[in-house]
Amino acid sequence: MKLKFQYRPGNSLFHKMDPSIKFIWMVIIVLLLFIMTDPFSVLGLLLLQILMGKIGAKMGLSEMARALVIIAPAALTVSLLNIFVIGDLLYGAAMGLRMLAVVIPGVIFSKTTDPRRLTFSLVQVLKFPYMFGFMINTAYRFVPIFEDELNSITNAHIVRGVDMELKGIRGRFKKLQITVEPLLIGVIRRSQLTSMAVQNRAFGAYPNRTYTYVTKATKWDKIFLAAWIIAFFIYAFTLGTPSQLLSTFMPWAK
Amino acid sequence: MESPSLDRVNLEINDGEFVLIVGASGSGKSTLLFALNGILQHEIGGRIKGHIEVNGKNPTEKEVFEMATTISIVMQDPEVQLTQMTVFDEVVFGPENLLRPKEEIILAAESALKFVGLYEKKDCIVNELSGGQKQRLAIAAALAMNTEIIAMDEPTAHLDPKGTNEVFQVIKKLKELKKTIILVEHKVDNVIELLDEDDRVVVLDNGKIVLNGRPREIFAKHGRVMMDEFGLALPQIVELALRLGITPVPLHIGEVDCSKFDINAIASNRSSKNNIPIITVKDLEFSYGNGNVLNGVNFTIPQGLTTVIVGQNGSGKSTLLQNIIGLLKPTKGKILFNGVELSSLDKKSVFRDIGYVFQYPEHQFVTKTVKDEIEYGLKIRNLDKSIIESKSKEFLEMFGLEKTEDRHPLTLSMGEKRRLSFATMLILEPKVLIMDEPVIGQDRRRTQYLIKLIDKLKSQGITIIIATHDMNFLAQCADNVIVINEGKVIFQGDVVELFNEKRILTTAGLDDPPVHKLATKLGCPEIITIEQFCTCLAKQVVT
Repeated sequence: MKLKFQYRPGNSLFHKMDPSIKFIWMVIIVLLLFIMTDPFSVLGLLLLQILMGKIGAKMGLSEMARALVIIAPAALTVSLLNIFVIGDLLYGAAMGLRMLAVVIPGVIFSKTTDPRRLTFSLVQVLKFPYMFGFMINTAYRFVPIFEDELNSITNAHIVRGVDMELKGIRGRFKKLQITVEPLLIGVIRRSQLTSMAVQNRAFGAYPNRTYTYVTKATKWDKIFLAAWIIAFFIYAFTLGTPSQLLSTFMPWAK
Repeated sequence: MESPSLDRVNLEINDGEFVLIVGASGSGKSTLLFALNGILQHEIGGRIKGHIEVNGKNPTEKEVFEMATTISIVMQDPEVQLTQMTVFDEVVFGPENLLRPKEEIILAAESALKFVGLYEKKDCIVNELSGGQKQRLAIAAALAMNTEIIAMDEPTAHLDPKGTNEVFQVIKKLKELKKTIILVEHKVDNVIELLDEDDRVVVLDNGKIVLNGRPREIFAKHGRVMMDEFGLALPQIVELALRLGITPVPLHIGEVDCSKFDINAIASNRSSKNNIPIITVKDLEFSYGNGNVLNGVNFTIPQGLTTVIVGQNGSGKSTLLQNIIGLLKPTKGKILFNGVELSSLDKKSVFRDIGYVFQYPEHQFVTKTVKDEIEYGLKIRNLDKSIIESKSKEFLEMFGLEKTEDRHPLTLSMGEKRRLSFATMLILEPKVLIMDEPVIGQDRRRTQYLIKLIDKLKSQGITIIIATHDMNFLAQCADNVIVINEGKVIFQGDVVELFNEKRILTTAGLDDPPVHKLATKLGCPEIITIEQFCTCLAKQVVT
């Protein structure tokens, strides 16, 4: 199954960037959006993201627009709710724009990040335990398999006539129960076999391991990240104020 | 006390030896393999009496990772043993765990990938490989560990003929490396081609080693016992020779002395002239969203006959079956059931008239007891209580499930689960019964049971549709064959015709059974099963 915003190989600046650096950059954008309460700043950041997507990630405007369209109804709802509940038009607009602005870095990240490199980067650059990377790898391998299995179970139940019998909320609950049972048994069986297979390949033999694939952040990656960290602090302590931070989390206290 | 999975097993395997282990399902083959690398003792919690030594190491005392430098196991299911995203990462995973130097790992991985013919795919995503490629990858991963022993547990059980051949080619090369190889395998027709005189065959039955010797001795001398007492499949040529009393018993076609056969009789063509279609598929197209899985498919399913749909894994067989029963909706084209468009029919009546037995029977179970499971379909159709009672009793007995009626369906053995899934479908008296890959991983006894059941259902007028890539099974039960390749029907006709169409077989990655190859060599390409071969010869003897 192909996901809409899954990784697409390429040679853009974002493709070349270390995934962990990109990940931290995404977190900085989210934090920045948290402390931005005026819609003009949020709009500015959103436009900057789009520009970075276009130039840095070589993404099409239509591609980014598609992502924005998906989130637009939710953003609009949040805006309207804030406008009517708090009665502040600008604050409401900022809230809606925030949701749009947070989507673009997410799309840039997912479209330009090779999941394999991400796993290695998390372990080698951010020093996550290898078990964490192994779990991501395994999930990446097994999620489509479990998806097929779930599909097969659902189809088998339809053929048995489950849809005809189990209706309403109680019916749905029962349906979930009889679907989960064989699925869980399948998951447990596969997990046991996989555990046997990796032990057979000496998994966990030593606390550390050799890495044939080595990834690290380049000088430019670090400069990029440093620039964003500096930008964050400049905004937080000069353009933004601690009171904006307060209003973000407790708008009623204004 | 529970009977042990392995019972007083004494076995010695020499360095560089090739050992084939055969046995019916549940005879202890996998248990034996996993006792050798310590997984059984340390991971599964098996208790061991007696002593095991593998290249000087005792797997009961050593840690599993210590044994992993001595023996590598390739497992049956390609999906459970590969855990990495890319092909290269998978091969280096083991040596990386062992802290081997980076340069050494890269060299070993590249050499292993070249050995199994996957070097060009080293950067590919594992999920995108075919079944055969995945198993070759598992062998490459085992090779990269650089162990003295490689053990394989039915590595081709889930593969189509093309994938099976690919894996056997690699095993043949491994054998030439003079590695110690222990192979558990049901597909004896493929493995017999690999065996040399000084190789070894070990037969397990109920956890005991009942036969242990050279291939010729085991198959020629004890073949009958293997078939009749242990329920095992023999290589077709061996079975044929034993049934015809030909000596010395040839092990494969290359050893057959054709002058010993003189057959002229023509086997009856099983395909009857029934042309009344029960299902008609017209210009069918289907897509999951990214490209067509089925492309302009046209065929008819004749009423009351067995139609087998064959093709490689991923050719579109299961998608086609799910379209036929209405689980998937065609993107284009139509399907007629008894002349009426399927999409216009009420789902309830479709699922009553067309039964579907899934590859994994446990996916179909929806209740907590075997009895409830059998009665479920009748209950939701609001049948009279007394009818339900009498029918469920009849079906419990018919499928030998009366002693298990209060058990949870998921606790049954694989054979019982399979019988229960048939019972739940057949109790509704369907006009058509669809089976998706019913013989994967089944031993000879279970396959023979299924063939008998199919014959019985056919005699009751039920139309059978089966998706499979097992050519022996196809030869024994099909009246009509549809070959599907890359989403297109490339052949529809009878089995004999298919087996003589080499071009179609090659295109679809299929292979005719050895008995047909021999019959063709003898000038009788109409013969496709051992029964037909024997009957023809018997007729000739009589006349």
